[in-house]
Amino acid sequence: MKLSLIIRISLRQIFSRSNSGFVRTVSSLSIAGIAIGVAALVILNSFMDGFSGSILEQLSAIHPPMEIRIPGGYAFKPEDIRFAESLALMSESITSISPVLEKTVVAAGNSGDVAGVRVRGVDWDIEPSLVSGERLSELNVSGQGAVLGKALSERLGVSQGDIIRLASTDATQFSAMGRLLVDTIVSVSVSAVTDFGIDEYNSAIIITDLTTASLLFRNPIAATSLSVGLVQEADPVREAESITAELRESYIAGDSEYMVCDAFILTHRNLFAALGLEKTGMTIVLALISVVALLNLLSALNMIAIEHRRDTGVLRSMGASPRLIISTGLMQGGIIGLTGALTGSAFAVFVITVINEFFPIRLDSSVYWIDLLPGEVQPMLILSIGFATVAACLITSLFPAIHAIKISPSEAVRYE
Amino acid sequence: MSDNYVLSAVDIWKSYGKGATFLSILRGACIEISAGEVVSIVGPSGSGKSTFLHVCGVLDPPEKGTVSVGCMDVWTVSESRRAKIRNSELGFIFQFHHLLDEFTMLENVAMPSMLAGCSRKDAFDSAAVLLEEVGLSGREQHFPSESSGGERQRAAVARALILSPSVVLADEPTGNLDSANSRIVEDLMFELAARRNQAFIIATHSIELAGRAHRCLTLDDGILRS
Ligand SMILES: Nc1ncnc2c1ncn2[C@@H]1O[C@H](COP(=O)(O)OP(=O)(O)OP(=O)(O)O)[C@@H](O)[C@H]1O
Ligand SMILES: [Mg+2]
Repeated sequence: MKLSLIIRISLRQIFSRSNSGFVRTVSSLSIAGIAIGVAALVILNSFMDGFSGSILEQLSAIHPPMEIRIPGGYAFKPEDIRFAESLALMSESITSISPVLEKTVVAAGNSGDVAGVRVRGVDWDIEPSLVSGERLSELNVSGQGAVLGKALSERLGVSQGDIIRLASTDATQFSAMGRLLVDTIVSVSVSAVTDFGIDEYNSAIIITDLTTASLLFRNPIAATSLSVGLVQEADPVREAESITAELRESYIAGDSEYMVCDAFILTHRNLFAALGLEKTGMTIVLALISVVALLNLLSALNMIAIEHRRDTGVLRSMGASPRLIISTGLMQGGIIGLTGALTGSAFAVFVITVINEFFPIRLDSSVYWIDLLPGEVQPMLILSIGFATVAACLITSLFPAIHAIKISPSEAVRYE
Repeated sequence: MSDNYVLSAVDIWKSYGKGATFLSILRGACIEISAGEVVSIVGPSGSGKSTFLHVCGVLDPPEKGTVSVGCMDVWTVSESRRAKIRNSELGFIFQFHHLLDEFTMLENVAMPSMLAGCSRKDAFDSAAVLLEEVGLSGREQHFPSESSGGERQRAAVARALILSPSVVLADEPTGNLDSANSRIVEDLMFELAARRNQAFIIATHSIELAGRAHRCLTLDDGILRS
């Protein structure tokens, strides 16, 4: 009951009709200031998250969510794979395990140019279904063959059906001059040329079948790592931790190294940490805008309080309790904060939508990995920024509110 | 002793400033008001009439002395208690109407009721009745800035009376009005005092108004004399 009176008094005082709208202008300006601060924070975070989100999406279009490897870069023997399989498949959220053979080789095609590339041999039947993006699966490759990115195919002068030769170098044989370098050359035909979405992948990765990849290794090995498929809802980081712990526990001392399971996100943690740091830095800078907006709010609330100093005295002479006066002051801060947060969020959503729809931000993909900067509207982010804003406004309005009840009503009503 | 009085102030002392600016304004002023009694206070400008009314109206604490409203010693109870006393037992009329600019006449008159926790509808209903009594029917939705000085002061009288307080404290209620409007407001106060058995303390410079009161006190040298 009293709450509606408090709201009414607050609203009337904020948007005061008297003084030819001066107080109203000041209030509106402080709402605008808060709205700008909120909008800036929401827009920044939406695009930063959109940026790291789409990089993550591109990366996980070629990478399985988790990989099991042996520390020190040791190769898997068949029994290692069986051991890992028997253990990991006990977990409900793991859908599959498939071997991967990875090696850095020199590739040559029809042009005179050669390129150092990373060859990733995968099981066509399983691997494509592990990745969340559709890039591998939609290619529908089977049998022996290679998939490579556009940039690499142009450099090597090959297209679908052409032959690429892969020269793999091993330092295995001992001789009087130290270890000998031995080359192995493998030919593979191009099954598909695709766009991996990330420039570095387009120019330096070849995905091929396990048989072809195994030819690159002089001494046959079962796998360099194992890709692990997860059900959609599972959290790769948590899942990887628990598998690593289990692997460590079930490890029976022997000549096999013990294995670890890495979540794909964590293997790129330095990238995401860098993006996160950048976001934090920019958030701090933009939060300063909000601090300025809060100072602006403080002076607006002070002005409202001074303008209504006599009215406050009169209200108290009519029996308004100090609590009601404080509540009114807080309510004013809350109303201005809420209005600012709402308009700011609405404006931010509008700007993000308009940019995404009509003015997409193009990036140089050789610099930024991705060529389109998408803004992501995130309701939770908007809610938390809005909540923090209203809370900050309430705290700010505490000062003028406390000041208002300290003024003696007797002096206040002497005002003409 | 104070049982018979709606308001009593005993031996009130009040001063302002210190050192060179020290002013002793009230020096043992006393007053006792019974229900329905209209008392006027006169005295030269600066003699402390407003100060005395503020002390009696629980707006300003005295340095010494007791103010009792009903049987309650108001300066010994909690501030929220005092707020309730101001709300239900006391009414104020100021020299400058002091209506809230952002509220309509109806809302202004209803404000003490709403502060008391009455529903908006009840408050507005009784405010509308009172506005009619002071001759302002049809003015409910006007803002103070759209009304004349006399109308505003009549609304202020209505506001002071809406919760039928024990006593209304009026500080130069006609001080800012021309003689015709002064006359209207005076008549209004005396009529309401008689009809509602409403006690008034009126501080004024107007000899005529002071003379119409049941009792006229002079504030002089910090003391009230009859
Ligand atoms: N806050 C204050 N600080 C210092 N002096 C004050 C203060 N308030 C009032 N005074 C002084 O107290 C004296 C009494 O003031 P008060 O307003 O009570 O007089 P008054 O009798 O109502 O005068 P008037 O008839 O002009 O309204 C005046 O001299 C005034 O200057
Ligand atoms: Mg005075």
